[in-house]
Amino acid sequence: MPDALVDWLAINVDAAFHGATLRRIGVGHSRAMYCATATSGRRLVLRVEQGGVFGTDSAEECRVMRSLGSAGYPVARIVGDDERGDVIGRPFFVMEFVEGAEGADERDLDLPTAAAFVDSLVALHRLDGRHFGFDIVPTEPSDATRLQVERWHRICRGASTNDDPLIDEAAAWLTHHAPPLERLAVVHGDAGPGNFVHREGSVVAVTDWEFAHLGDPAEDFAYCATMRGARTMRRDAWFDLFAARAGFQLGEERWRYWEAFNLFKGACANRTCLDIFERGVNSSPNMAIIGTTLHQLFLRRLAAIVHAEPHDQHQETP
Amino acid sequence: MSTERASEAAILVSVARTLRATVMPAIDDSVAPVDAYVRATIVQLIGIVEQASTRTVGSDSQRSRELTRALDHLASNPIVVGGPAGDPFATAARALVDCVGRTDAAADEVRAALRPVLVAQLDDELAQTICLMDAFRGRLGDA
Repeated sequence: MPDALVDWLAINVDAAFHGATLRRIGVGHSRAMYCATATSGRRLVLRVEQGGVFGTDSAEECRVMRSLGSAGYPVARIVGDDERGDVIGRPFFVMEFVEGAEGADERDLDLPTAAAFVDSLVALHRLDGRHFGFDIVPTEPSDATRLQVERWHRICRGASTNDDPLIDEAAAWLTHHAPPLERLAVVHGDAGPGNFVHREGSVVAVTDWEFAHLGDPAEDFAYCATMRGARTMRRDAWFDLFAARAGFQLGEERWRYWEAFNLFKGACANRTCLDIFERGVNSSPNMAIIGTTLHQLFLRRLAAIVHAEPHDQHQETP
Repeated sequence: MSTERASEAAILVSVARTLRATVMPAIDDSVAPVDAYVRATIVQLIGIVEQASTRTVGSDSQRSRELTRALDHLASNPIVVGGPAGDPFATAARALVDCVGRTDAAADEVRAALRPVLVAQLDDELAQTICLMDAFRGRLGDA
């Protein structure tokens, strides 16, 4: 595979990549990432699909990243792609390497950098992304959350041959309790530490766009505070930062709703990994662990929230 | 010619022990820098092989019976009664979905009967797989 990729780079992107070295970087799960270094010193990052992991595809991710770049949002510039997987049997795209700060723990941030990240999230949510190339474009903002619940439920059911009553109940509960939404925002979907490159307290690129979609900004804030950024600082500290930088505040029930939404999304996405592992499409051991243990952990936390909630419709307003 | 052959269980033990004893020392990060992806993958492989060699056999039929018993207690519940008979998990899913947004006694009865069974089954499964989290995070526990 590396030879085919390098040859493709040399022909389609830059002849200086002829005979380039290719090194796998990171231990990410949804996409395999390789860094290619040309004889000229130019570096590119290749992002390769892993057989449908998490039910996302790189064609949409690539379209959205290009649109974001055109809108002036900080993303790595895409220089080539193979949507059909003709070159190595799996779709991939190629982007410029973005130099950033390196730490022992990518989720360990200082407060100014965390604040800069929140600012970048606010800027994202202000973009009008209806023409960014998303697969799902709600007709009305109020449809957005329901459509995402349906999307993830469909992905989960497609990855399993058995009914899962806890998942089905959660999907119905999330649809029933979906908060009103007045304006569609571009939602990153996996927002937080580890998914952006920073340098000297500034965000130079936001990365990992495979979960991006049109929806409610609250999803990103909740995901950052309760999941991806949970090791970075306490959720209350994140909430304070969101209020200070974005003027964004929610009541406790609404935070719980979005935590439940993100756990549902995660449980459904993780379930695809077991399916892929069982079918031999991707036999990496992390697929077995994500598809079982992580799926179950997310589902257990989700059930705890759904089963603890009052059964009547939320009346709280943001 | 003997038809005896190595069992799957013994092969799993062999794979795990060989990875620990032979492969891991060869990629000792204290001796030389090791590709993080390579090390993480081997630790995860050891994790799933060891878990596969020690887990008890999951019993789908036992779980179906547990859920069927819970559904039997709801035989006169208007949400459950009259629905198509069949897979208890499908029946339970339909019933719980139908209860969402309802505050009446029938819905409460369905939730009270089905949720504890389903959550207990999930907890049982988690009790067997949670050991994989260390491996997922790149930590190799004791054999």
